[in-house]
Amino acid sequence: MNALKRKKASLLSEIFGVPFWVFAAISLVMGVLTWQLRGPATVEAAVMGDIDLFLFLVPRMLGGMLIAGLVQVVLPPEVVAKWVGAESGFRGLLIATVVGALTPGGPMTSFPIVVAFYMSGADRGALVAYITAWSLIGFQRFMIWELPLLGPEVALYRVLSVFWMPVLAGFIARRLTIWTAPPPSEEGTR
Amino acid sequence: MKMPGFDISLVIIWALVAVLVVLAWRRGEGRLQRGLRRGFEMFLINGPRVVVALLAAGFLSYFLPKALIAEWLGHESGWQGILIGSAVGPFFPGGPLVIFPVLVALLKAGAGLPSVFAFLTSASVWGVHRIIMFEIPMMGPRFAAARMIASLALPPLSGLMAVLVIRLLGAPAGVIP
Repeated sequence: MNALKRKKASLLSEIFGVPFWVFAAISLVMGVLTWQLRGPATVEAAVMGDIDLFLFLVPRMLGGMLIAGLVQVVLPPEVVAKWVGAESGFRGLLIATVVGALTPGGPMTSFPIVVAFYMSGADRGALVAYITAWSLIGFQRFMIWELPLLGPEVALYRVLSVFWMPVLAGFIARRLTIWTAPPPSEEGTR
Repeated sequence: MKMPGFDISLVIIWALVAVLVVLAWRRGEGRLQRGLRRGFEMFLINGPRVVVALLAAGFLSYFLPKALIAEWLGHESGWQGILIGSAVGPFFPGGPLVIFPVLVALLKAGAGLPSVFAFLTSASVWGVHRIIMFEIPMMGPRFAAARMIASLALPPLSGLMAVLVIRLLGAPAGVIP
């Protein structure tokens, strides 16, 4: 009973944490500025536009968050670590790219995984491909933000433009190992 | 403005939810409940933030100098727009919550896809905030430097690829100034 209450309180404090209040303060200031400089009709139009956009977003965001939550329980990080840590070569770069794109969560989730690979002697190129894929074509970001906000067409154009880049970055990073320090284990450099 | 509607993205999203629900349920051990709870919690945490972020971005779009953005980042801006997009991207902290509302505001103000893609790529791979807070402390400055050099060309390349894809497939509906 007490634990449940504490859990509820911590969830509430996370919902209304610093990011929420920072954005709330910014939008309040911007709203007052808009009211003063452009008049109340503009404020009303902006708010109505945002309500429309938000109604459009809710079913998509809820779906995206459920996907992110479910992927985390279906694909445990240990399994992910095994795939990238063991492989190298061009195939390793491809695997790292796919796994990086599938890794959900923010940097507080993905960088601990990267460190785990690094310590177990994963190839530097694969690590760079992984980070690039996670940040550039991350599936979770794509589902929650890109697809709903930019629309399927623009999202498709972007994926077509950049999907191959993690492999390129990994390939270049591998060449750079000539002058940067080798990873902590011998088999990391090739 | 788009209205809440039934389109392909919604179908894809919920089809994936259904597939994952079946997978999690078949693997058992409370995975389904844990996954769903995590998803709902993420939604509860992020929903209110998105509301206020969108509100701020909505007001911001009235103050962006539209003529200037169209001239600097528009479809006609060519290399200049791609380079400006690449140069400003790293200095937007806060992850997708900040980047995507800014993107929408830029597109509304007349920015072209090449500069916007360059901007999004440089914000993603060169985000200064994340490099300082996570990458250097956890991976060391040498690794961070190697990764940054390896991804140096990616933002302008994204802009160039956008030009190519648009030339091949035509401009997507709804973003032409």
